[in-house]
Amino acid sequence: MRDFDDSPEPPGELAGSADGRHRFLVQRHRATRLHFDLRFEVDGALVSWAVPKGPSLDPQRKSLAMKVEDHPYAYGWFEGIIPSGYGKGDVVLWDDGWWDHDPEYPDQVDAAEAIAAGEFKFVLIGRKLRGRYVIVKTSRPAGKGRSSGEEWLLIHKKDQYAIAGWNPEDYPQSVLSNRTNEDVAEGRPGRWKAATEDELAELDHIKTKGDWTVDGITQQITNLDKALIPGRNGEPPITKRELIAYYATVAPWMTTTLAGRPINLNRFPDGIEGAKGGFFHKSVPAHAPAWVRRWPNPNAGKGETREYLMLDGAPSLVWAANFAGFEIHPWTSTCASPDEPSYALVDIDPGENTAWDDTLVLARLFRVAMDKLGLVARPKVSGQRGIQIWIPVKAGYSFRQTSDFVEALSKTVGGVVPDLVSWKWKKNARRGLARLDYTQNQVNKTLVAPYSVRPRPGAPVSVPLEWDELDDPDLRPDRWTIRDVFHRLDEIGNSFDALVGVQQTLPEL
Amino acid sequence: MARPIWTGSISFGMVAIPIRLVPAVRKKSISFNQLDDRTMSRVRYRKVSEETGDEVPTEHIVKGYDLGGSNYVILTDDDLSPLAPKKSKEIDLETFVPVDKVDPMMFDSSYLILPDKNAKPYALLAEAMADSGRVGIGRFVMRQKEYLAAVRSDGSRLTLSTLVFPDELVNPESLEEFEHLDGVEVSDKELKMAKGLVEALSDDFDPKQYTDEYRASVEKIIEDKAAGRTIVFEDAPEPRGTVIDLAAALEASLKDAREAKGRHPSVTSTTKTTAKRRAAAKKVVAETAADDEAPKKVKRARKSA
Repeated sequence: MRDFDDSPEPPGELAGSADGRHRFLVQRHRATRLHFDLRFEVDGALVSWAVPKGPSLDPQRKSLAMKVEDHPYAYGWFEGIIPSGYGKGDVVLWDDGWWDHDPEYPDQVDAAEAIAAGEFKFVLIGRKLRGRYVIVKTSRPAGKGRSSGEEWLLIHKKDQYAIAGWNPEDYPQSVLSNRTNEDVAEGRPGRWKAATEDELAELDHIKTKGDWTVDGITQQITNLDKALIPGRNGEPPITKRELIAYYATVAPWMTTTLAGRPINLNRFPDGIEGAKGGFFHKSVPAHAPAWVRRWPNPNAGKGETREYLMLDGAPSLVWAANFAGFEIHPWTSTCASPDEPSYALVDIDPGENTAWDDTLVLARLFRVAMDKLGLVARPKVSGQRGIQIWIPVKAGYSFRQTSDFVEALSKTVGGVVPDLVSWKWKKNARRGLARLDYTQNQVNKTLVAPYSVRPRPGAPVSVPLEWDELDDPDLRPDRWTIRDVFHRLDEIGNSFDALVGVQQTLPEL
Repeated sequence: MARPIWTGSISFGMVAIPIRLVPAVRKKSISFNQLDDRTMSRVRYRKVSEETGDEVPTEHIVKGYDLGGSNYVILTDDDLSPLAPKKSKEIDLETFVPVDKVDPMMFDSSYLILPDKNAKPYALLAEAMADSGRVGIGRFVMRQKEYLAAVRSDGSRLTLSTLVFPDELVNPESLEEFEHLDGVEVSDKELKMAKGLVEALSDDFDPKQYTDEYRASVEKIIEDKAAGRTIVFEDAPEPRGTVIDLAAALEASLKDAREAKGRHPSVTSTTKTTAKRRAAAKKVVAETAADDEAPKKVKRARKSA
């Protein structure tokens, strides 16, 4: 279904949206009854219908659609189990993209007016839904028989996107995380598709640039033999080709921590030793292909990035790597609730006088604390020098709350080893001691993603661990690189899978 | 509209009446999930091998009939499928019998019979059966199993009850306790007294009087706990002075580590094998905070010129 060979470009400038285009979003929602929530961005809110059988590409289908109240803009991106008190059921983002007025009906200029008049003609440009549609109010009076809502009918017109017999239930997966509703309900991790052996073999045969197809999407990749990262221990340097192959392969393991989150990319166009070094790139460049997913930040202030990159599978990771954006920093919050962190983050940041053993002492103290407090969490090595600890929290926490918790926790841990830790803000005042940096618990402050490459010789990667690995004498913060991390994944799997779906309350400290 | 569990027709003589069956009983007992009280994770059943303790994949699970002494006859789907009753969409009423001739012990599950849009044949059958005071007995196949069924009428609506087969009823003769009744003698006076008691308590049967009081009490507890935020699932509240408590635990762990190192300076711990024990995802079920508000309703800001 992800064939964008004949993708129309998104429609041009349209007023009313952060990025100048109108969004549509469809959520597959298992509540008392399964339905699809079809939502259109109109004048800053999401005008919504509940479609029990789901929208289709089949022009023969007239799908019943119950008009429901407008929803806030961010809610359209929600995926997960609805917290109690907000409704019920589980939700995946089933499709999204742009909508536009149907050009065949130039008289319809205002969507709100058209909807008020009971007939709205539009074009969808989505991942699954494509082409011309009409949604029209039926004459059946409200409240008779089955429901109190207004009944509408959603119909796909006969156009080049129409497919007879197309059933939405044949494509139940999320466009963000590749999960089904069942996966969400049961706390199973999402898994993006990795490049296949055949696809990787094709990558080897591309000269310095060419078109490459992964997971149904073809894109041009360039400068493949450019060395971006020097090797370590006498190994050959790491080329862009190798970075692209790595991300296309590790994609399934990155799903749980990247899907549905805005991304800050650290780019190194001239390599990590280039004159420019690295710089953070948050917005999506205009030349990016239409299928690169963007999230308009509704809270962006003047001069702030408005449209963030979202990674949604191997093709977009390949696109980022080709763009030399190979250090990946996902937000701690999701697009659906950018002000609510999903994790409380502990960052053990070693100073120049901190030995690796000291870092381990600190990490083990956090292990004892997690155990004592009964919290599920996992550590990860940063791929550089430090160790971070990710503590999943239930929905509804503010960054203020997680920051306060991590501050209290870090100060308690630091309190028993005062000779290892400094609380000084300025680096040169820390006397080379480690810092327990609780200030990372803020919106748009990020820690590096699990399995992201770090800009160090040999291309080490950040790797989640089981707690008892802190006692492994061979553990090093940069032990695994893009060349050997797959042995570990094959053997142990992803230790952060244990955090998926964990909704915990932080204890009072 | 109720979801039918069976669709087909009732046939008797030359007539076939299209109908659907929906369950007549909705069990209302409260269901609970099982949780591990240490981690609050859901407890799952797994099918494991008695011999190895390992989980057995579905494709390796076969049906064995126990002959005793660890001898089994293995029956495969191929053995059983020729015997499966042929799918049929008909409830064939073979006979109509007086209602009191059916032993109530035989009634198993009850269903409501829904008429088709063209309801006349249904209405006719219902009325005719009510007038005759008889129930229709027939067989039908539902979910690959053949059932004996009784179709009853209340004058306008039809119901169906599946019946257990007579050889499934426990024969009272097989229970020796009933033998205690043999040769018991009661005097006329005793019988008269007992009849008097029965008469004194005689009343019309009013099913509405009977409610499931246990369920009502459990519902009340759940409601109270939920409303009062005395949350069932949450960890026991931490005692005051957690930080001091925690600091003490941290100090103790440091001391242990130092001592261990003093004894075996080279040994740190076991590593990779234990790491392989993948900890299962632990879900802590916790209530959302009391100050949650529904975020849904917003007024759509209309553009103003």
